[in-house]
Amino acid sequence: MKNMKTLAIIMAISVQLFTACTKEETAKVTNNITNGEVPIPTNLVKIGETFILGAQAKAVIYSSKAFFVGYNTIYVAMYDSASNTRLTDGHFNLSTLMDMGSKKHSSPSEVTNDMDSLTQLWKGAAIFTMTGMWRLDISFHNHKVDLEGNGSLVSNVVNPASAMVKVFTVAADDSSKIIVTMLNPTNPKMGLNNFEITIHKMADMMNFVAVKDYSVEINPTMPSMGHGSPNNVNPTYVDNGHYLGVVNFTMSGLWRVALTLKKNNVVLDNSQSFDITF
Amino acid sequence: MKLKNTLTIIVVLLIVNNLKSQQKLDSTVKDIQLKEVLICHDDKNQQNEAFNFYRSSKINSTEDILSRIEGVNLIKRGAFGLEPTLRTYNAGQINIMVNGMKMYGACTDKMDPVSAYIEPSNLDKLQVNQGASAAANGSTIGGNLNFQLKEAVFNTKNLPSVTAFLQYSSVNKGFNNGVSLNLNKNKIAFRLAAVYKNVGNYTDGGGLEVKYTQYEKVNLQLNTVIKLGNNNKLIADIIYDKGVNIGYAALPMDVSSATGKIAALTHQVYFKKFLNALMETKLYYNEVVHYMDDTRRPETPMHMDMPGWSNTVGFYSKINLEKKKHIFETRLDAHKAYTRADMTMYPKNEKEMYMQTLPGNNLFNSGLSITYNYKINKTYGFGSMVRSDFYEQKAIDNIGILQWEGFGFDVSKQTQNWLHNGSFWVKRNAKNLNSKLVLAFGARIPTSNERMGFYLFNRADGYDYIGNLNLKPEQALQVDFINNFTIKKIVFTTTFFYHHIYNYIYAYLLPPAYSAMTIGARGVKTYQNIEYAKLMGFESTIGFKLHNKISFKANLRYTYGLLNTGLYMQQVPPFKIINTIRFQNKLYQIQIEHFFAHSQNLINQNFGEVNTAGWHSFNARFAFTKSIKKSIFQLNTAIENLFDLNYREHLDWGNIPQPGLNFIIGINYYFN
Repeated sequence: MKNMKTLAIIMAISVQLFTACTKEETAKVTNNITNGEVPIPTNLVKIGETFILGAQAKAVIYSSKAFFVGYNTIYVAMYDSASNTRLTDGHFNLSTLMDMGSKKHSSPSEVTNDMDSLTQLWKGAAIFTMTGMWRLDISFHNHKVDLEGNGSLVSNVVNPASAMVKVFTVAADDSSKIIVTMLNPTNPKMGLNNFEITIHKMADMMNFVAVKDYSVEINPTMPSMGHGSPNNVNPTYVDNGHYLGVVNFTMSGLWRVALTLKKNNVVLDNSQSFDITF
Repeated sequence: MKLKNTLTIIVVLLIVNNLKSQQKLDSTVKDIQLKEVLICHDDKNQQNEAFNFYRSSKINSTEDILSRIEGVNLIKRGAFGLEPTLRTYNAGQINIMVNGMKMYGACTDKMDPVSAYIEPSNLDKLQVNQGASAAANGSTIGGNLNFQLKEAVFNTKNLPSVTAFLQYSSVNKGFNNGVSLNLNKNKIAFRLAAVYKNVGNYTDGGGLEVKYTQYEKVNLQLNTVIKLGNNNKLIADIIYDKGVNIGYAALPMDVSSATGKIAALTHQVYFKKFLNALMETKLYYNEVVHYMDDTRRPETPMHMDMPGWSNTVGFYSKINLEKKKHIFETRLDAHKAYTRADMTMYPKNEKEMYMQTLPGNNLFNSGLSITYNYKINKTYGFGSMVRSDFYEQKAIDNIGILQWEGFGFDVSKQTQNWLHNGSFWVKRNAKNLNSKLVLAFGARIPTSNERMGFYLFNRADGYDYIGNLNLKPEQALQVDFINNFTIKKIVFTTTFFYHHIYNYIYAYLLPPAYSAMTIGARGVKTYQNIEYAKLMGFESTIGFKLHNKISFKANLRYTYGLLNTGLYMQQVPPFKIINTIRFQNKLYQIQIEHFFAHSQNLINQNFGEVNTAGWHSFNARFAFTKSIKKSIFQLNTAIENLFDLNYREHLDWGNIPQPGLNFIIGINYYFN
């Protein structure tokens, strides 16, 4: 018994470590370099493009699929707007905007400042919190010419099969508006799966803060049968609002992963859950 | 005391017997059953005698015969596929074989022991060897049960020989029909046999219908013997057995279909001049496909499919040598088995749910055994058997492997075991008393279910079971002492046994976090090796014949099992007696049977056992035979459970009563 548990924990940790290294699985690169230009990985879908006005640059925006309500990883290829050759030196930032006429709001986003040298892509992420036409704002400091500028792109955001973002008010935490987004599992399978969420707190309509002082407990169950599973690992804080744990699926079908959010051992909320079907 | 009652009955029967013997009866009695010549050397004559005795009682099923063999008990979950146990050993503790072949049932709930795919009308003999000393055919601690099937014979001149039977039983409105045909020409002989059974729900003592006890099955067999020389032959067997709509009253699900297919090719050669050498080599393949079915159960909360598969390919080769005082036998065998079981559940408006209750896995086994007997003189002899086995097993199906990863087990890794069995015996054959003392050591690997079963629901205790890949083999040290007294025409055989089982595989409860899967299950259990368990008891047979017309056989058995924790072992049958008295002449046969089981209060509550009351039940059989030229007609009638007693045996699961008053009528036809 004790052996089994320790083994399970070791397994869980090793899975975690392993996947932590290969998280950027979407950036698969073929080594075919044509015309001296690094190709765009074939598993990425082009979302759109925009000129970065003032920076003599053009941004082409990619993601693994069309934008959806949830955590969207964004890849940006920058081009010299005159020669249309790839730019490889610069700083990049992104933000989102939902303009509903009477009011506007943003949503949480992330960027990695350094370009990935293998794919020559800048990487970021946007968490869209509702459906509709979202504007993606991109700023770029083109080191080649040392000029900065902005561009934007409007794209439709659709609902995924089951909700991957939860926006709710936590009364016990100064009535803050909390956004919990599930990143993984994206391709759920039998057995152990990484369970990764981000938690953000809304500071105001335009600003979101990554939450690092919550603790999270998960409880997966199959609602139609009422059973759960053993050997789950509660997500723990990694960085930048990300919490990583492991969920164990003993069967395929519909699983409901219930969340309990705590701060200083006080339960803040236990009303939220994510449905995962595979 | 119930025992006293029983003794009284025995005494009464003895008196009846004596009265009958006063009558002067014709002394030439011909047993009506067709006996065929066996090529195998077999020192189990007594057992065969018992088998033939009970088989000639014209009873229905393999199980009915099994239950009468000493030391054999049956776990009952429905009216079909009763699981044989030897003393208390069951499942992976014993080897159940068909013609020496390894075969695995495909059901994770043990709904289909191998015996379910065999029909008694095709059985030539039943070899029951108790304990670890029976490991010559495969490592075991509990013993070996081999169903030896009939072979085509070269006894018909021009016409085929035919046997046919039709039988109806009232308790389940059941039909049991069969036909077999023996053909031979020159150097080739065929035996073709077909059995069809269609049985409804039976009624219990008192006349209430016991739901989900119905079944329907067909069994086809073709046996071909080709003479390659005088003492050299090739035997081919093909068996197809299909059961449909099989009820399992004691389980939450039934079986929609269970299909067994067996194919084997055997070569036998005998060299009289060279040490009486008998060599036999067999190549075989068998497969089972098993579908459980819950669609007939109104209480089912959610429909599910639970199919299971098993297929086994293997061979064995054995040589017997004899010279004066020495008998030497060696057997080399190997087999590879694939087993898998799935579960798919269908919730409303949701994606179906799937898992492998037994991850698809391969088991490989190879073993070598040597048996040696030495006759010191007329009175004394000794012998020994040693066997070594290599096993390896691993899951090969990715889904099942991932499921187990979630529990910290890598079931895709080979689990390897070397097992050793050995036994030593001394014999003393005196005028009236033959004695044999057997010391044995045995081991068995954990079963696939015990290793990697995944949330298998056990109706007996209401828990889901998951396997434990780290289980060690179960081992046993055993002493068996067999005595056989012959006083005039009375034969009295008794066996005492004491078995000490190490690393006994026993279930324990997991914490609630393991979350039972089955709706309504009480929790989750897994297995561990506990330090030891003890099993002891005795079996006795008393038999006698008077003027060859009256024969009496009583068999008694008692088993007592205790775990190191002081708990009683589970599924231990109580003290039981079966008395059979038969009067027989050329024309007719009358037989009265009496069964007695003592109450069983030495129970294991962890396994969900409850006390079982003692009971007596009686059967009466009558057979009438008429010969017309080359044809023999036989009318069989029987009244089973004469007093319509409502009772259950201790090994009957789920408090399901046994059948009540039953009238059976049947006709057998032989043509030669």
